Amino acid sequence: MKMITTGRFQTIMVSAIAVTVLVFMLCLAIGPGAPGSRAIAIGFPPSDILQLRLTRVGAAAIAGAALGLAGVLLQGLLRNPLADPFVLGISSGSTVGVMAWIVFGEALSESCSGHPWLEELLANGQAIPALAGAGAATWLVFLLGRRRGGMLDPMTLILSGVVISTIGGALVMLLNNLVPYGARADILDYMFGYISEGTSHTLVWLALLAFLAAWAGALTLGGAMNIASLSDAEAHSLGIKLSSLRFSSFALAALATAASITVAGPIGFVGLISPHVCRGLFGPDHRQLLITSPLSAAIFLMLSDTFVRSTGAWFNGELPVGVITALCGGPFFLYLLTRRRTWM
Amino acid sequence: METMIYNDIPFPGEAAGTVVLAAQGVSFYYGSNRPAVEAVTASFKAGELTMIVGPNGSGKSTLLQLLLGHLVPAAGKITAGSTDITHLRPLARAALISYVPQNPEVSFAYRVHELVAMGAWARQRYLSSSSTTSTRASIDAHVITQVMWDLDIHALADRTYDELSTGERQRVALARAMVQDTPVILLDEPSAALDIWHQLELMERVKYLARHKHKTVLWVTHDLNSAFANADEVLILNEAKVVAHGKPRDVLVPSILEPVYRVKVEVCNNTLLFSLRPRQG
Repeated sequence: MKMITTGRFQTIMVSAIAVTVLVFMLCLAIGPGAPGSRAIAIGFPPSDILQLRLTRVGAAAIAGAALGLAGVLLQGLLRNPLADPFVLGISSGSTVGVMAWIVFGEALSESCSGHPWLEELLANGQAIPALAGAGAATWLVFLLGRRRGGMLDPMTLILSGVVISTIGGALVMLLNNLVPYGARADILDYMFGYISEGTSHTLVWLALLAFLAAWAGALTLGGAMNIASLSDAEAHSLGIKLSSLRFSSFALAALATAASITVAGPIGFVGLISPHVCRGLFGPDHRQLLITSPLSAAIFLMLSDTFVRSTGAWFNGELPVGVITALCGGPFFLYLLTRRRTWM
Repeated sequence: METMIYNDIPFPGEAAGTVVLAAQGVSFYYGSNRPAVEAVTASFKAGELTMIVGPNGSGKSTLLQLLLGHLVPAAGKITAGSTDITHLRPLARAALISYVPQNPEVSFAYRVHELVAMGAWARQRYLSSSSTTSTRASIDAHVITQVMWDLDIHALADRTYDELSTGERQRVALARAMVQDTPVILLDEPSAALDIWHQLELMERVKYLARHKHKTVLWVTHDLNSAFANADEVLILNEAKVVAHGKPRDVLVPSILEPVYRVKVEVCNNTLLFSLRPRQG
């Protein structure tokens, strides 16, 4: 299938990679000014601080890229331009996991003492319960979203996701009333997504590996995803095995979302908006979207996180990065909708 | 060109008259006890245009999707040559059978030339070992351009799908199937939204493909006069069953059509004339 010329494709890819690397370097060089000052400092800091920044900017890049990838996969799978990694209830599942951890975690930690590997796992804080919750919600939506014959059905998947999200929301409120008052602010931060310098290096590496595995798998699906944009019968007649394609897209999107949640919590809007922007700029060909969307999402999240990291003095402490992605992403998305409706 | 492209699938360029696709006692149910297709046995030959007719809900589109392999029969089987089509690999099946739906759907804003090029995807994948990439790419570029001229959509090449009229969308789906260039072509009311010039043009093109390229073409239609004038074979379905299957002049006759369509039928100057029966009581 010849969709965009090879030369143009290569130019787009090389430019996207170059801009991502440049933004990564830029974000490493930007940070808060002296304590007490509202200024933003530009320039590479001493190596100990640079090390911390590297972790955080790296985590933002991985989380963003993973969300951008999951967004393309899910919008393609659901044939719905409004799908994102959290429409399937994954966000709400991870929040339930974290809430449950805050309520029951201490008792669990005590019961696990004496098992070193379990203690090590639990020492990584919210990542494990967040992943468990996201995994449970994903699995439930997957089971509910299958039609007779075992094939995932886009409409059933979306409806199942909405129902699981609603149930998750109710569980969060239920657990919230069991949480001590002091811990409730942490939950609010978590629900908007938060990236920290203190993220364990093990988690960052795990997230990177999970994202790279999902990305490598997804890159083989681009041509088939284009064909699957047609009706089921047409896609079938063109040699697509829809059941396998949908299962692969779903599994890879879940893996990418898990990678993102591990280091950044549930960040909204990034996975929704980056496929849109790339579709608008370069067209709907999934073979290039699967490359440009993760890279542009990584750029967006790195810049957003650098903003919140550098402006703590402006807001009585750092904002959760999800606040910025929603405040920038929302209006931009609306602007795109009004400017050119055919992007859908 | 066909020989080169289809040199390793079950029936490469079969001689006219060879049975290429056959349904044997095929039944299908959409969840209820009432069958959508019941015990259908029929065979379709290379070089023949078979038009499938029948009232609304008689099972025409369902039969087409069963023959495509998209729906799996609850009983019976569909064979291509001697192979059960459910046993064919998806890409091998796509190299054999193309399909144009009643209402083509596209989820994102692809351009017309991208949608037509999708027809070459399966063939490119299927052929990946039999010719060099550059040869295939040039064949496909040539075929795509030619088909877009043939179906009068070359001027629409850079339009996005949502900018097209229903008839133009139907022609894009037809162009994709032509690029797919398969021995079997399944068409579900392909000319329902076309103006008369494009209808006649399409019919001539399809008859040419059947008679000169030995394609097996199945065309679902409500236009009984078109079937009467153009089809080599007509298959009449009613209430999920085959009522008749044969030459147009043998099966499109008042004694068969009147009970199926509940109308009065007369043949006048090689044209079927229909009128409502007077209401009883």
